[in-house]
Amino acid sequence: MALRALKSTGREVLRAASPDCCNPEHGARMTRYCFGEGGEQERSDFEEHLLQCDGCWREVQCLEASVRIFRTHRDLQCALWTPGVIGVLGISGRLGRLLGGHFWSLFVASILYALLFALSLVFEVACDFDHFGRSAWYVAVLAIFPGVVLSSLAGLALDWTWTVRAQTRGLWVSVLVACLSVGLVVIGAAQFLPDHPITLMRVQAYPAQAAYLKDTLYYLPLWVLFALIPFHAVLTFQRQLKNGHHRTVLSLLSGARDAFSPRGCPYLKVWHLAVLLVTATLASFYLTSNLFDNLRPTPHMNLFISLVQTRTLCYFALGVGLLFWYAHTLNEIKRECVAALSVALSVQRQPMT
Amino acid sequence: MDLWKKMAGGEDEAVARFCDRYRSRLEFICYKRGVPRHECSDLAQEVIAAAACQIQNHKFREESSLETWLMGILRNRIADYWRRKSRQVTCVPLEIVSDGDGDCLAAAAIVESEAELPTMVHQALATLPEEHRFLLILSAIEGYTAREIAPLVGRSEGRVGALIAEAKAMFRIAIRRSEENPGSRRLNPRDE
Repeated sequence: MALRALKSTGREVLRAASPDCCNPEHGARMTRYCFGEGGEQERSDFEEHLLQCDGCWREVQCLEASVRIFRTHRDLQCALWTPGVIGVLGISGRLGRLLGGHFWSLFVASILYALLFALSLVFEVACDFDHFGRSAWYVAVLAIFPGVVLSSLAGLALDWTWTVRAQTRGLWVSVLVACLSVGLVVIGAAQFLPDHPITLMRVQAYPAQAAYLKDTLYYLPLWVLFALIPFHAVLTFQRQLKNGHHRTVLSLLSGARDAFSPRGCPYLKVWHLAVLLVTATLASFYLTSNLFDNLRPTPHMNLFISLVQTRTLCYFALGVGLLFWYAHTLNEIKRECVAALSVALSVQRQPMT
Repeated sequence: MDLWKKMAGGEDEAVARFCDRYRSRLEFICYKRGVPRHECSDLAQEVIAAAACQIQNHKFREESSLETWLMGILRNRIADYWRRKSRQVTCVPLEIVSDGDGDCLAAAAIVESEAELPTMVHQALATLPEEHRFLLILSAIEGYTAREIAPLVGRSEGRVGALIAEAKAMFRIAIRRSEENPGSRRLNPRDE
């Protein structure tokens, strides 16, 4: 506790000299001296001080011997490589960083996710581009795209904040934020989109507002299943590792029968998500080709098809990207579990003498 | 009255006290300056003898502090030692070499003789936050520089350097506290 209090005032820690020493500046010099650092002038000055000061001399003897033991004592070195120390290098050590150290992956995912909403708005009015086109681009680029990026990152950040504090409701908060943001986007888009069909088709087409709502209902499950749930699981595992539950996490990730997922953390396996993505791909091929088959020729047909294809590309890029991120992260978690458990085993075998 | 004045006045007891006070410190400084452990004692003795002789001959004129003056003599003796060494090739018995840098000093041996020292060091390290402990291990044991550690832990080089300095200072304070409260030491922290 005392050291923690001292840590908060880092400069004082660095400078705290021997209690018997009259000069507080010698604290930092003594540390550097015993660890073999500092320039020649500083060493000479400190050695001169050492001849005068009994307090520093006593402390230097003790610190010098301790540093030498620290550097050379093999059993001690084995004992120092604890699972907690391994965690600093591993993925659990990144839990305190922004979004648990996954910021850039999730930032890119948020951009792709927001791109889906923005592209949908434009292609729903593409057949009447002369009338709606310019304003559709403005609304998509200036309102929908940044709004969805920010709200999706905010949802993830809330989940991260709650999970780091060991609260289990972070996932539900992030899902709620995602649903609310989609609701707001749909309501906002309804103010702009007409309530009659715009896309000209041989079969009955949806009105633009309903079509946009249908599109968002494709995107939201993708985000929840491929981003929010895996992200929450990864954060929970990182927290578990930080608390030293390596065996529990490894059992769960290795598919042991008696393994259980932590409270408030639905755990989806990578292959579950892969099957879902393949199914979605097959369904998408069928639905898109059906859509194009029933399309009536219009002057903006090329734009419409290009936007639909781009949307499909973004959709699967998002799914595949998140799937790869999830698989990679789970692998890192497993790697840390194995390293920490092997270190713990070797420490048990070699008790410090 | 100052110790050197008593020495200058010819008090034998003052010479003995002078020797007691500075000998182990001078040995320690010799060792820190790279003199082999078996030579430190002789070199410190030479400095003590030279200083005592000059004080008794009233050659110490208090133009600087006694310690500054002593350091000057020590520096010259160490420089002489290395000059001498550069001119001669000596055979060093293998047992001296194999002892390594380890148990070299009479002074440090006072602390070292305690079998509890590794435990004390272990406990002192256990009081450090995990990140600090990890950085200290990488820096002091494995010999990594702040630049090499920075990409491993995803922090800037400057921040890593600051954390390492903080960790070393925390280690020093923890060791001092262990020394101040020896009763708090246990043989093995895992026994609890």
